[in-house]
Amino acid sequence: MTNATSAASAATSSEIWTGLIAGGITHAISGLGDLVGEEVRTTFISPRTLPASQVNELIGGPETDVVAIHLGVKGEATGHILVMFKPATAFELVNMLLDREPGSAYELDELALSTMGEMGNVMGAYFLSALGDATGVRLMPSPPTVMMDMAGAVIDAAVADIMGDGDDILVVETRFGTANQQIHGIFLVLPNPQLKEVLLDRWAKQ
Amino acid sequence: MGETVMGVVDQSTATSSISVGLGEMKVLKNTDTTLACLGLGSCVGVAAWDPVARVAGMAHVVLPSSQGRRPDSGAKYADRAIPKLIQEVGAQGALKSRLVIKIAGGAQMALSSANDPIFKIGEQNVTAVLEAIDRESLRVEVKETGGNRGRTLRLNAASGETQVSVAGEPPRKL
Amino acid sequence: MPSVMIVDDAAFMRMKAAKMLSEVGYSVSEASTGAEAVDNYKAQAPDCVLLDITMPDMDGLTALKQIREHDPNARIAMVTAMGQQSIVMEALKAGAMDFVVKPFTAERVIGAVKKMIG
Repeated sequence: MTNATSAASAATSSEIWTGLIAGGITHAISGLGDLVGEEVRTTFISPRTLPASQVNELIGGPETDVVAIHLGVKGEATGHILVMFKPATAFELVNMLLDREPGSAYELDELALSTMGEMGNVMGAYFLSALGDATGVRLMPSPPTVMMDMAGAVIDAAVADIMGDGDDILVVETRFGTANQQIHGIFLVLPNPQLKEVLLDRWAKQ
Repeated sequence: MGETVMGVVDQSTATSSISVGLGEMKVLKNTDTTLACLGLGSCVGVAAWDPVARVAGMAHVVLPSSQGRRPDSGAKYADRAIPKLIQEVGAQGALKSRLVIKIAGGAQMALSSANDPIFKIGEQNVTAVLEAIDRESLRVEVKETGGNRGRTLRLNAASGETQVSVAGEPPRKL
Repeated sequence: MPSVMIVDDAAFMRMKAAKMLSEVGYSVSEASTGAEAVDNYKAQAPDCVLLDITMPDMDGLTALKQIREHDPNARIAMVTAMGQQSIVMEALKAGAMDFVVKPFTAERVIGAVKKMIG
């Protein structure tokens, strides 16, 4: 009896968590769509728990080249958000947002870095605003930091921060893209364990 | 065997390679297999080699200090990882006095301004690894640390050869 | 010529807003952190301010309060991707006259400025 009850309530909190996350991601993706002026769709959402030793295997392996925008989650709980693109896609995004000819950006100069950073800021802020509106929990993104290197290298500092609390890492991996897949990327959320607890707790009290 | 790149055996294409993940440690004895910490950013890869016993060990260090943290099984914290690495290669016959230690990683990956405290972890990891090695009265033979580029560190457990590579460049002997 | 100070850490966003406003005849100045915004406001007293929230070296909500403390009649609109209701309420309570959620259109930005200084 006890086991059945706890299993049922565990399933419920997992459903609530998935619902909250999906709402946040839908909002984040719509923010990107508004910014680029095109419809952007979510093609894959997977909230799951991974052994920390395997987290840098995400995004096609630790040595895959990526451009990543990091946002720290601040406020009543903490965590990390990473928006990641293949370098060629990132340059095309910069060209689109700066109304330049396709193919004209090929390096991340100061304006391109700022453009990528702002794109990450819009997605992260939209994600956290939706979670905040649904639960009443105040969460804010830190200003963005842009990186370009191997996927393992751009992600490991965020994973390190969370590994201080345990060897299992909560990961929400979302893949998104425009209808023609000209722009596609990954929106990765790494919440600290207490972020999930605080959101579920406050959602229940609303 | 791997291809030769600039006079160095490219271990990335060797027949057998074992990835040492975040917070993990692996030890091999006289095997033509390469241990690899792939895509080190703020993390520090530590390679230890005894050329006589032909024992190779590698640790993928994630955080500087275990103080106030739960005990872990592997190499997550610099202060625990170094003594444990020496103990584990020792269990395979390596002598502490013969160990050749090389380290790589500990970068700060930001291209734009680093806006979160996590961007200090790399520097803290390097300091903590060096201090832990010093406490064992050992020294680091070669290190390639800091900067703002990610690295892969490889150690071949038959030859003891170590390589470091960064994105978009061929591997170099470390 | 009425003057508008655009405060945003992203050069990309400052550039977009500056272009939209200068095209319709406003004189535009820029700041990239909250602290810089407070200093520039005291030195230049622009007619109104467009103020981002997420910035390094003092966030926009803190800057809003400091500028309003210096000048209780300061005309400030928040321009941010953080559209969370509790943040909108906090900004309006602290004296913000408008709240523009990014990404913005030219109409919305010009509308916010007109609402503040006509």
